[in-house]
Amino acid sequence: MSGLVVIFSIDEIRGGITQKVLKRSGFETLLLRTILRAKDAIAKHAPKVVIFDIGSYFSEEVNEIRSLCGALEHTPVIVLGNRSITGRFEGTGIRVELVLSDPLDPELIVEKVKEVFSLKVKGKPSEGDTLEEDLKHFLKLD
Amino acid sequence: MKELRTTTSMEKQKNLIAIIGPKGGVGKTSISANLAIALSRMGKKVVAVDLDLGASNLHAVFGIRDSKYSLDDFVQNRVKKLSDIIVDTGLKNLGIIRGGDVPGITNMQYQKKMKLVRHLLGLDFDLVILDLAAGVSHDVVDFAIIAKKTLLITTPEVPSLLNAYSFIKVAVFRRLTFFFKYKKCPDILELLERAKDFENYPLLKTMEGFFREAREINADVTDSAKKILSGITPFLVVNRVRTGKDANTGKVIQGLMQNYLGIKSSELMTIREDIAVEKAIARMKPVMTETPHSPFSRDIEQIALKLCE
Repeated sequence: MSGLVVIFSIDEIRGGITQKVLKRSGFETLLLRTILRAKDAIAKHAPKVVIFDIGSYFSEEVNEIRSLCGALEHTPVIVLGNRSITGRFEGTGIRVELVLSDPLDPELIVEKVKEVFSLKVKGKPSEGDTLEEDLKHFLKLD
Repeated sequence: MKELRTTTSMEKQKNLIAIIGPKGGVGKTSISANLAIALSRMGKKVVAVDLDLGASNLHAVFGIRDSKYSLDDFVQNRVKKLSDIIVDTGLKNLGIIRGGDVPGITNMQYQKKMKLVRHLLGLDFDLVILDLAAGVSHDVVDFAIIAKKTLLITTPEVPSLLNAYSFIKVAVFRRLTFFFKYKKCPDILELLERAKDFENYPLLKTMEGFFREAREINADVTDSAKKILSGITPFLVVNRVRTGKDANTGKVIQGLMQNYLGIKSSELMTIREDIAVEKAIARMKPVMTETPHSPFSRDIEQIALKLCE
């Protein structure tokens, strides 16, 4: 599959598992341990999907990730973590089905990433698309 | 560019109305001429200036075949004041300034451009209508920036809509570039450059994203820049509308401008397709004088009313 998946996780084991299963499924991945690095990588590499494993982080970090999610309106985001925290991602524009509460389910993550990749391919504008989609395509905003 | 920055910040509130049609052939000159008539009929003292340099034809819409002076004479210092070259249209309260046609006038030297700006701002009229050239050259964008109000003309077709969006984008980036240079913020200027390459910097794809990052560099300057941007509120006019679907194309562009450029179009207006326009052009007469009750004339009147609110 072409296109990068950026994974942010400060939990070495959870991040490692997520990266491994995605690599095994043929995805190019980049695992980062700090928000700052994740932010840099997103800006630099324009990934197709970003995975935030928020585990059970402190409130301030979660807020920062929330705001980052809000800024990534055109890049699909998958959020992994404890149910009490993933609930705080409502209203950030992330699709509900891409917020995956614990326990960590590697197969489900792969499935969701595949789904996002396939949607992106299907999403290319065609003759039947709306005017907005056509304009976004020409303006490279899609 | 120091002088232009100063002019734009201090005197933007003047009486200039810029008519912009980034895609050629969208009806910009017809709208400029007839809007000038509509405004003059409302009791405003109006002058319409043909700044479509090198391809001027505003005078033709009024049926003016010959006139002693044009903008060439002013640019080439054959007359001292811009007000000296105003041509009488024969209509009450309304004069025009003919565009220039000499080779090279489209690439006017900076000093000459600034002189023109100063004289435009000094014209003793209630309203000065600027009929600008097609395209997104800096000359056109700069005249749009200094105007108090801008009418962005498009037709419902995709190429025209794309050009309208691109024009506003160029204007936004140019205005912000002036501002950040003036504030001596090289780091934010660099960020602004990266925002142009948003495919490689997706966080900067929207103005909101750009401002979020810029605030981390300098919050005060960024907040001031946001205020400047909130002052860019073009009237969006969709011309040659035949169907409800055509009329809705304006809303799509409005949405894109707001979501990606942080620009809120103050008004969205439409002008219906009208055979009266073609007929009037063929007769070299303004539609407003030939068929004052035609759909085109009525729509122009509505725009004039909005502009005077």
